[in-house]
Amino acid sequence: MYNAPSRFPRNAQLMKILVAVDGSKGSLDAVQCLVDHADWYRETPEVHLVTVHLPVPQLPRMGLAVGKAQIRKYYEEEGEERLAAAKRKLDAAGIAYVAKVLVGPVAESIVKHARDKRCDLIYIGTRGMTALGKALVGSTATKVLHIADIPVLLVK
Amino acid sequence: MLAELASQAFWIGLLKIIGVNIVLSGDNAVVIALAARSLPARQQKAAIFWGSGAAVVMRIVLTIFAVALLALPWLKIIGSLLLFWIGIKLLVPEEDTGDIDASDNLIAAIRTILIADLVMSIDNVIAVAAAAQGSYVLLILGLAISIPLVIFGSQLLLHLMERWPVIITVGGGLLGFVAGEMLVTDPALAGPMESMGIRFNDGNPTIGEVKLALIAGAIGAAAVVAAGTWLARRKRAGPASGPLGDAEPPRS
Repeated sequence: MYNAPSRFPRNAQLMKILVAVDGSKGSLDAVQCLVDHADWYRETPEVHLVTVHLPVPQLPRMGLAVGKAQIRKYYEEEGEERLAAAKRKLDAAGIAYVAKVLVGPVAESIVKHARDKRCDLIYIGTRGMTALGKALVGSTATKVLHIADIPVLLVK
Repeated sequence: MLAELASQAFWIGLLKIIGVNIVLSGDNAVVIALAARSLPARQQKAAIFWGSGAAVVMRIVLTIFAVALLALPWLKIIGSLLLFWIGIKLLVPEEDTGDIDASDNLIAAIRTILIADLVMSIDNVIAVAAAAQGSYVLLILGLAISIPLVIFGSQLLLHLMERWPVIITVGGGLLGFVAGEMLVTDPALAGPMESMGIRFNDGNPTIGEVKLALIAGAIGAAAVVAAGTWLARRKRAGPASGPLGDAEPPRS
């Protein structure tokens, strides 16, 4: 039922869309879909492009050799690599976006970021890095779909 | 040496050393992968090459020393208790990551890799020394094969551990297993055990048809995993930060 105005408040401002990518070719399909169908929306939506990096394990005595700044830099660098292709696509299409590297469990971090930024919709590809085959919906996409409280658009 | 190479026990021993070393070197791999990253791409290979070369030599010397020590009575018991402690600590996440400056020159990165190898390898040294069971050929071959594997595969190992943190639990369990084995094979315990009616088969204490070391190992592994996960859960339930911690810097 789509008649509960309190659950999906019509945003008076721009529509906000979160796009999640993991750097794989499959995950770029979500970006491509957004680019191709940007005219679905009355005005160009505000795009939040994110990728999630899993946290490095916290091991005893690791602090003797590796500092916080170094770990943060590692997240940023790997994250930037995964965002690069998606950024190029959005740049080429002239769609403005805010990009961010999140750290944490993948699906949970995506949904939490969407909530924090008050996004109206999540775009996510169904075949990412851990895809087993075309027949399966990616495990991350499935989990996002399960735990999100806003609409999720799965891009095949 | 050729006769030794042909025996089945030799190959099982070799696989054991390589396995122990790879699973227990996860922590070293994390540090190596992170330390090398802060260098310019061209120097990363040099840092890993020299760092690994020095680490192999250092580790072989330390382990040979440990093998010699473990032949003495009581030292296996001490080593085994140390391994239990290290294994449990491995399973409890550490939160106080220091504020060390990223090393952006070659020498500093090699030094970081070496220091990391030294302080994080006590567990591997003892465990590998125990697994070698007195054979130096086995020891040197096993280390020479597995250390470069860990160092050059550090990036891969880091990603595997991020995706499946259970690898760390397996490492802790393995430490507990080796610790249990060591505990009951200490020469100092042979006398008391014999008076308790435990038979010795080729110098191995045996209960029924099963080697006592195997039973003690299984108990040790279970004990470390149970204690480690319990402590980790208790720590997480405490006033610690959430799963995201401070990973995300606040943005204005």
